[in-house]
Parts: sequence; C-alpha cells; structure tokens
Amino acid sequence: MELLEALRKQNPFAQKRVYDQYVGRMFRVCRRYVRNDEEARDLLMTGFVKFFQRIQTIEWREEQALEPYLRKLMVNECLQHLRRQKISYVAVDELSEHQQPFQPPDDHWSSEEVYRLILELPDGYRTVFNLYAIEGYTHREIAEQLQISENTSKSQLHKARQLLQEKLRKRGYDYGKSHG
Amino acid sequence: MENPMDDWFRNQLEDVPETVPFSTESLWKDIQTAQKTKPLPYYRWVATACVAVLVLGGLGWLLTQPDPVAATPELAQRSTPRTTAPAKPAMPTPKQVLLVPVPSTPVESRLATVTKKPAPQVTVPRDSAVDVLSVTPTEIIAVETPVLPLPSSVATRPVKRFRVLHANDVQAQQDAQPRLYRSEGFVRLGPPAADSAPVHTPHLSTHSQP
Repeated sequence: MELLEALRKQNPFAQKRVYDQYVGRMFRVCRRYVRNDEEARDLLMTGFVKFFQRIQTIEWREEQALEPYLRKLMVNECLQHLRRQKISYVAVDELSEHQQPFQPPDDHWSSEEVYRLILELPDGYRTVFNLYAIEGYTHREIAEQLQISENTSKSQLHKARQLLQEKLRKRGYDYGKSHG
Repeated sequence: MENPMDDWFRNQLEDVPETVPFSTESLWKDIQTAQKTKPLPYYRWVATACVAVLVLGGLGWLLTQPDPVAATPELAQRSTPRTTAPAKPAMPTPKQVLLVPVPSTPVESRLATVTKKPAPQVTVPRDSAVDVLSVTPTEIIAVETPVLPLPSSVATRPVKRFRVLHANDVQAQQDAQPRLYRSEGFVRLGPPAADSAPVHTPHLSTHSQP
C-alpha cells in the first residue's frame, strides 16, 4: 500500500522501483508484437509514462494489480502502433486444411527458442496468436481491437498455429517421439 | 476453447529470461524527461479559450456599436463632411519640406481694425474665426469688430505661424530677395561719410571754450 501511495504522489523512487521490477517483462511483451527492439523500446517508454500518469486516478487495492494493468496498457500501446502501421490481415479461406493434433514436445525446448519461434511469425499471424493464445482475448475482442472481422481473426490464428507446428517440426519436433 | 498448443506456448513464455538488449538506465532517463514535459492540463486550455472568447466578443461588440458622432445629430452637423481630396497634378515628390515662419501681426490688431470708410454693418459670428481671416482686406476694413477680451500675454505676443513649402520654393524666394552682404568684410577708404561724421556739440565740448 505504501508503494501505491507513493506512486500516486509521483514519487520518483517508487516509480523507479516499479520500473526496475517490470521493465524486462514488459519489454518481452512489447517485443512479441513489434518487429525490432527499437520499436519495443519506444513503446515501452510511452507505456511507462502513461502508466505513471494514470496511476493517480486509479483506486488500487493491492500491488498485485499493478502487473496486469501495466501489461494490458503495454499491449494496447502495441496495438495502437500496429494500427498506425496498417498491417494487412488477409483472410484465409482454406480453413478446412488438415491440421495435425498438437502434442507437447519434450523438455529439451528452451523458452528462448519458443519465444524466437513466435517472433518469426508474420505480423498478422503473430498479433492474433499473441492476443488469443497468450493474452487470452476472444475473437470478438481481437476483431474490435484490430478492426477486422472475427473470421479474419480465426483464420489468422489457424494459419499461425499451422506455421508454428511446421517450424517446430523443422527444428526436430516429432509427434511420434513425443508421445510414442 | 483451450488449445494444448496455446497452453504449451504460454507456459514456455513465462520462463523466458527478462533480459533487455539496451540500457535500462537510459530508458529511465528518457521516461523521466517525457514525464517532465507534460502537455498542458485541460483547465489551461479552458482558460485560454475563455480569454479568446472574451477578446473576440469585445472586438465584435466594439465593431457593431454605432458611430457616436453619427448617432448625435448636433455632432454630425458640426463635423466637417469627409470629402475626397481633389486629384493633385502629377508632381515630383519633394525631397525636403521646410517649415518657414510667416510674419504675423498680433491677434488684437487683426481682430480689431477700425476704418475711416463707412460700410454696411456685417455681423460676423464669433465662432467662425476662419471666415474672418479668409475674407479680403477691403471687406475687413468695412467691418467694425468688437475687440475680444484676450489675455494681455496672448494679445501682445505675435503668433508664430508656419507653412509648408517645397525646398525649391524656398530657394526661389531666397534668390528673389536682394543679397545682403555683411559690412564686416569691407574696408572704407577715404573720409567718413557726412552722416557718419561725429556730431559736434559745443555745450558738451570742454576744449572748444577758450
């Protein structure tokens, strides 16, 4: 509660403490949506400035609420950035294409490798996959946020999953070995 | 609907190391700088808008007000009508304009001129001084104007007047006047002139008396 009160009073020491605690995690969030580190840095800066400004007007009950709020704010900043870039989300018609059932691979996969796989996705696929699979948005919410139709959101997610499976397979993932 | 692939990716991402590929301190400085340069709060915009509305409203009110001279008939009659100046002949623009003092007579002597010649009585309005001055001298002679009670300082002091002349006119006037030379530059030869000879006063002379 003391930290929240200090943040409300724009205490720079409290702000620095929050910044140090969340800067790495929020950078990873931003980086999953944009193409390079520089864009992520700019969005991180804008997000933190807005966070420190808005925190005065929000009634905080507990410090645990800080991270979800900050994360959502960063995601919104990223979506605004993507809207400004006018990324094209092409609807994919051939949704009936067969997709193999996914089985969790062995533990030899590092989290950094998985993270890199997501970064390699095209912009449209990556954005929808991040919003749906990682952040937990629904297709309706994604459609509103990205100003696309729900079907487009579904098709982008489908293609993103297909592409990720293909990348996993290319890097040695084998269904048979995982659950032999 | 939960998807095992989504769950697996989400779980993997939770363990991603939180390394940042740039200096977090420089980013923190940028954030602090951005925080200091806040945009103007909304109430300042409101105050600015109010001032602008007041200024514009005042200007509009002033512009829509009727002319006070035109609104008052007496003032409108007194005020001289604004006429367009007659087109002047094409003249070269004077390079220099001089103010030349015009010798003038005292005010009292101009206003009161008593004449020998009898003339019909002409009443001149007291407030139309311009008309009195602009009539011809013969007409002035015929007028018997009462002497206005003026302060002694104003009545005796000659009024210094000026008129605007072109530099060429001034030069022409100077050329027309006879040239006067200073006597200091001359030496008189011979006996002094008769009028300049010393006057002999016998009653004052002490040496002439024997």
